[in-house]
Amino acid sequence: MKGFTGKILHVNLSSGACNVEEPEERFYRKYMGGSLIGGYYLFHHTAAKIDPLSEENVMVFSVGPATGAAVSGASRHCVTSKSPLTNTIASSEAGGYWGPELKFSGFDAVVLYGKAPNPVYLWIHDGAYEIRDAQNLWGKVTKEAQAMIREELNDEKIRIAGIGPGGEKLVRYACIANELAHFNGRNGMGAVMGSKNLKAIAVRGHQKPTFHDEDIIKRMAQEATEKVRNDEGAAAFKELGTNQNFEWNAPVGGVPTRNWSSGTFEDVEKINAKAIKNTVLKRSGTCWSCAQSCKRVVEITEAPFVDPDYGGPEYETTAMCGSNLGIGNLVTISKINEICNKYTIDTISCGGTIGFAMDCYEHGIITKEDTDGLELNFGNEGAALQLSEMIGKGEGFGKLLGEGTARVAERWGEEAKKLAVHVKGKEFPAHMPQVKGSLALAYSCLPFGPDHVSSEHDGSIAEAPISYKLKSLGLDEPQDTSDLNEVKSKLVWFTQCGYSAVDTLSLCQFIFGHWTLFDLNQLVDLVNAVSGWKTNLYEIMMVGQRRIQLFRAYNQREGFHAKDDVLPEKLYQPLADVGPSGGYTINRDDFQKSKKYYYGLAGWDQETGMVSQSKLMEMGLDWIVPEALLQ
Amino acid sequence: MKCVSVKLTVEFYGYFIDRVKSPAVKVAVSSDLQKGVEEVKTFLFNAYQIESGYMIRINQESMSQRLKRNAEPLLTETDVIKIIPVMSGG
Repeated sequence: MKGFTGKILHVNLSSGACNVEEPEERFYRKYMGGSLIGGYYLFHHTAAKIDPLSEENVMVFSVGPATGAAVSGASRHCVTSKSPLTNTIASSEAGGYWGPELKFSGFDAVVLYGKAPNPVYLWIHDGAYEIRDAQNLWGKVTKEAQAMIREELNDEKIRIAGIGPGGEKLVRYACIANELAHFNGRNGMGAVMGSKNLKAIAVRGHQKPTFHDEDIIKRMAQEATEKVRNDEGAAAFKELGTNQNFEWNAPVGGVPTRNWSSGTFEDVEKINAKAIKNTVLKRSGTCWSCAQSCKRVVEITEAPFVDPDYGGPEYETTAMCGSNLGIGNLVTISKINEICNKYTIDTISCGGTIGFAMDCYEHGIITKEDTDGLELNFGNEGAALQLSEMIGKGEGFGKLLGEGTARVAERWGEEAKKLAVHVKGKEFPAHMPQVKGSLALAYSCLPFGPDHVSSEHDGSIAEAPISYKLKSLGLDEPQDTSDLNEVKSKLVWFTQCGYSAVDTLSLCQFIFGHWTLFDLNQLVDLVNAVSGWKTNLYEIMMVGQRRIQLFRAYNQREGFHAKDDVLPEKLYQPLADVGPSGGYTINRDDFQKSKKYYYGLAGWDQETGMVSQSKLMEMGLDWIVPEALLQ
Repeated sequence: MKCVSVKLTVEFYGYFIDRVKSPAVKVAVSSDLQKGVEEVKTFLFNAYQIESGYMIRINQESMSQRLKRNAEPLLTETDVIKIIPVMSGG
């Protein structure tokens, strides 16, 4: 078998027992990688309705067939588990360097069960594995812990995926860091690690996988390099990174501001991509073997000092910890980013939760008595900095906010709930459904809660002529970006299957897709080049859909149905500004009609949202039918 | 309503500014809203090979919003056509 190591490591942290499974090739052909492999094990090895932070939860680290091929976009790995933030299945992808090194160390996936009696880390190297004591690492931020592990194992090239104090303190949106600046950011995977007393997984190996056609891989690598050099869009992405989103979200009033009250931020010019480039940026960062180099690395050499080893704010961070908090100062935003990264807390949920608390404070729902004396007005940079550190450390008012927006709103009452922007307990990423209508569907219906990289955004079909990449999916009718209708249901469903395939294969959404270096046909070429399979776009799209249907069935088992595919009340209130999106809102009827149409496209019951037995059989997932139909 | 030729501003955003080598240019198009916007698209393709992957805003509105509002069915020289590149997520 080409592309894979053919080995999956199972580790019981409670007992210390480990074993290696060698699945047949047909298992890999069906589940391929990422969170489809992860979802398979999670479904099989967890009972319904377990506490995600109990030892009964299972977590899976996994890669895909192309991981480790020296081509842009093949650096990623995925963590799958039940989320402590949403109580749904969760899939959280990261770039960086850890994924390829896991494969070089001899494994396609690591499945973790139980809970270690004391803090430990897992050391995997060239087919060997051991659980090692980590009591001296517990409480350390990621940079310290990484250095200590490398020193202990006497190898500076070891790659480490691990947690800081945020994960240890079970912040429900704690993330997992690798190389200090790359993250399995969303859904609280770091808290699951913390609940298992697992500080880190260190990997190192020299077992390069065998690929079927190295010439095609080399040709694609060269093509990526040339495109980044010669294509304005790709070159600009390298130069300015994801913060370019301000360039197109700002002119249409799509920058979340002051807890989603407005789409126009008066200081956007102070925090956008060009401002970052001209002030705090040290250099572009990259992932393993990637020419796109879209990451930000910032440095501030005077107080409050920002360490470039922790990377820099991506668009999501800049918006959620900037405009969403009424903060137009890149120094403060960069510092919040550093704090979140060293403590391993998700910057999106952190910014969302602090923004919600600020909104409640300004509405008089909470006072200084509730906030440990912090004046939580929008724009209070000192309070935002202090609070992000308190969340990371699990201290005082920060400990409460570490529970996430939904749980805090529940505690603060009905008026607070009206200001809480989340779906299934997870905070929104920084793209506004009022402005990009399809995201109303995506955020409400995605199996792991709101996500901005699970379907194509509305701008891509805003004007004729629509790109051939989307026309080939049957999307040939231009639509206003803010419209929410049947065409948008198609946009979400068709592109969601494609995006899901990219995630399943552990490839990068910024390299393989509709606006990126390679389209989905080239993704097929890469899969064939690494595996030797004669796959095609149909099979790849079916793999993407299989992941979605498996996730839907898992959530169904956990009690999630149409009643949970909803939007927060705040989105039904007109945006309060005079900018381009002033007065925009979600129309309830449009949302309900589009949701039913989307359910129909997905093969789900249009009233209950339930996945059918026949759909699961179509996906080759008939083994989950008896459990999925439990009510 | 009589259609005439109007010279209006086409404003570029994001990496289109680099391609055009200017944040804005003046373009003469028909004052008929739909025809004028189509002529802008043709201009974008012919002059800069910008074929897809962008949104158009007329001042702060899309064309269909302006048509629905029906306030200004004709383009005027004070209108600004904004050409905004698109990217999903990030």
